Amino acid sequence: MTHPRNVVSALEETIVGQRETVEALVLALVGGGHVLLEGAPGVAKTLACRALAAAIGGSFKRIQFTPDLLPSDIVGTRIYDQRSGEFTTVRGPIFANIVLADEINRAPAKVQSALLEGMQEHRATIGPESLPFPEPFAVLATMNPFDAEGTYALPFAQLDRFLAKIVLGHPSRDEERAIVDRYAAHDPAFVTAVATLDDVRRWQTESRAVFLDERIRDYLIDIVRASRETRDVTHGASPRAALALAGLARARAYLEGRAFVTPDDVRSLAPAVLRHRLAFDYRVAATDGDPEAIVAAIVARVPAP
Amino acid sequence: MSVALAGPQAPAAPYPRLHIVAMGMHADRRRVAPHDRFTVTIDVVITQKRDRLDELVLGNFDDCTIVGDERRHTALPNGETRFLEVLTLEAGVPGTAKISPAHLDAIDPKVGRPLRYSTDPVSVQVTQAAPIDTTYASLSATLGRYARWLTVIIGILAFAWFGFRFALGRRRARSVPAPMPAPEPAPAAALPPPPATLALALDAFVRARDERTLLALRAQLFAEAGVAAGATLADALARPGLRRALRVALGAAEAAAFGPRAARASAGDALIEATQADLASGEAT
Repeated sequence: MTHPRNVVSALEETIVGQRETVEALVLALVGGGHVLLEGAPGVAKTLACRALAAAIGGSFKRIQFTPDLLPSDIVGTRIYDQRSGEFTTVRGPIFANIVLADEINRAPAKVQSALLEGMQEHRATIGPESLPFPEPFAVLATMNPFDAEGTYALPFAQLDRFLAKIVLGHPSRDEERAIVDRYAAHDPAFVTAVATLDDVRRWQTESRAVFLDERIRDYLIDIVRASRETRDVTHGASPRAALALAGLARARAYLEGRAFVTPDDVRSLAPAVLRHRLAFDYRVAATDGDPEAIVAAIVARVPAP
Repeated sequence: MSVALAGPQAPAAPYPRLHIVAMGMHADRRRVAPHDRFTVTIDVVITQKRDRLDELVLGNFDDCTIVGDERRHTALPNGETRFLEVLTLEAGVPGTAKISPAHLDAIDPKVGRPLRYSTDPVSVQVTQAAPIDTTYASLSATLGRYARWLTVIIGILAFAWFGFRFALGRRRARSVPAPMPAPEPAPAAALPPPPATLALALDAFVRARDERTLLALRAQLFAEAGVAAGATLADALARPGLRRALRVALGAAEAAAFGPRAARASAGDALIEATQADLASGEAT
């Protein structure tokens, strides 16, 4: 019987370094949520998403967000067939198991909304038809922290729909050396499927059954509430953040083969759940404050049970 | 008190079945002059009713001479029995007089295995200089000196206060903080409470098997690892040089504290076993 750990191992064979990213992607998949990836170009964001889809034998679609993108380019449209005299539905790229929304902040709000509505409902309406997405369904959206010109910042209500935000850093020197060596002669073998879509659905069901003790539930709620009581934060995390943190903590416990959540599960995942949900005071930007440090301080301030 | 599995060299048959609640040893003075006398008291509390505790083995007193040994026992209201063995010792040459731990081998009825319960060692400094006298006999003289100084200070303060009131001609009563009362000497308790140790926390959990004692045992394991309350298992495991048996016990505590309710009984058993193994390593407090 396959385990999510097999997917992590398969991804690590293709992606050098980025272990936290790989684990976060698998956790989000098991937790049934979507992930926002932020990192400089060329740090294997797209490769990681494509490899994830391949590892679970799922369909993969990539949408490059641009300012002239239309909602129908994502969800699909209806085309009139002259021969039959009827409208036929053409499904857009969102109908896939793993959807990579590349540079999501480059498309206007109307297009972002079309994607985010689908993320929430797991279905899209094309003309008179409401069509479900294939399950499992996960959107992995990327954002480039540079080149902010010509971008459309995602509203907090939309950011809140992402289970977690992963920040990808540059690889270490050794990792970079391994990357160059690995790709020097030929393209390395791509990930082959180590699990099935049925496996993923089973993982999602089983991870929801992982036990969450009341004290750990209160601990994660305290962390979320602490984000609303911080001087540097003008808008703290929503109750959806608490749900996301509970779901991801369960997924982490499941990934580690435990039947119960520990305080470490919560504490290690809290930054990923909180960082994109907080609105920081203008003084943080004005004084070159570090939002990551503020999030870390919020988490550290709450004592674990 | 620390607990370890009784050594294989000890015969298994004579071990009594005793439930040790507390065990400690302390000296009434920390610093003495050569040939001064001081007392070392060994305190043992057991749940059974007994008149004697012959199994108690005293440690070594190489640096001093035993000049008196008094044993007494008290039946406590909750059915437990408290044994006190008061040793009067005479200090030897200057240096550190070390009294090694007293121990007691017994089969814990809850665990069903022989365990060795030990006290902490006690050290007394033997100095040539006039020792800092902490005996109760000299306490009143010391307090008397402090009281005289305190009376003078209070008098000066009172005089200054009345002068101040008179100069201002105020009639309105002002609230002046009362001078701090002289600290009362602590009651001369026979023995201080035994220190909280892993063995005691384990014993309490074995007896009660409830959430309160479970969390106390988990907290004690965290303390053993050198992390404060509010830390997580990862913090504890990240401590350098953490002994392997303690790692296992910490993991078992996590399962017992946060695992599914249906599995907590077995997780508690695993925690007891792991903690006993850690205690048996001889490095736990």
